[in-house]
Amino acid sequence: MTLMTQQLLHVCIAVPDLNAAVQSYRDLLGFKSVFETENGTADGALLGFDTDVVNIKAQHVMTVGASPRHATAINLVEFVEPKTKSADSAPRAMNDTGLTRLALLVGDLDLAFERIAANRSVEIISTTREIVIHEAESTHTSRWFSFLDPFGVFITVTEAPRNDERKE
Amino acid sequence: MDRYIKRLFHVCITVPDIERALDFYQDVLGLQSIGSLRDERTDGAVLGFPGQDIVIHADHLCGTQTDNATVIDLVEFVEPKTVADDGPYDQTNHVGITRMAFDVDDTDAIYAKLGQRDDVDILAAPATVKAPTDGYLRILTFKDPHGIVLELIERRGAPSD
Repeated sequence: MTLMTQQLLHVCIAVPDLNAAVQSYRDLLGFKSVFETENGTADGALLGFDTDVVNIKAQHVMTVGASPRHATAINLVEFVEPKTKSADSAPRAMNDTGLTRLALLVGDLDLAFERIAANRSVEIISTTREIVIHEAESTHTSRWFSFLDPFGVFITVTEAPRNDERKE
Repeated sequence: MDRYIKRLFHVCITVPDIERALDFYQDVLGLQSIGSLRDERTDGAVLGFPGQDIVIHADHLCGTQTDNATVIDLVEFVEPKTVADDGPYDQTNHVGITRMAFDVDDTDAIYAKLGQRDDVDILAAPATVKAPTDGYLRILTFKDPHGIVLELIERRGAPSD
């Protein structure tokens, strides 16, 4: 089989207020903006609309130090016309079909939890827990916590897993 | 401030049937699985199911660039089951994670493969647009068999490469 896809280029999060979103991702999570656009004539069909054009504002954010050629960006988009729709129901459960969650890798999980939990605009879903994954040849333990960002996006956070035991 | 986040680690797609999903993501998009779990029982709290164990099937998928790549975590919930009723957000301007874009070698080759299936919905056929920086982009968007909006982007030096 030919491998045709090189990499996940970006993941899009629609937000009601781009400036507030960029500020959150910068101040809360340490992302930086690598690309910015205001496009009053974005292709409507490309984004799944019946109209020829839509009006959007967007910024691509990445972790500091990431290589723009190799890292996956988060594309924060504010829809101006038609406007971004607010969440009309409870946040999505993780077993709802579709794109449900982002996972972030950090160097120091306890520091990350301290900083994120201190922010009033997020909702902590789970404090740090040890998760054991049993694979065929080995068992990994990793520590995770999870939260909802200011827009209700479900984000899990982990640090590099430990290899606990190797099965013979 | 402290830059405590290293990178976007993975993006999770919840699906009702992992084998059907793999058929699509591997055979059509050409992604490869770099790790597979079946009937994995784990603590549900981190995923929003406090006080209960959950059981999942999962595969981690990536493209040809594997160095520090953000992977797709394809997950079928076994217990509790995946809820398929409402599907993903119908429109890309709904608040939340609405779309993923892939860097591909050949947009038209994948478009031809999509044409052989009756479970995808083409939103915009391949079109060449000027890139915001250098060169051109050959772009296609469609809804995958689960209704998720995917965008394929091929970089080109000239509009007619």
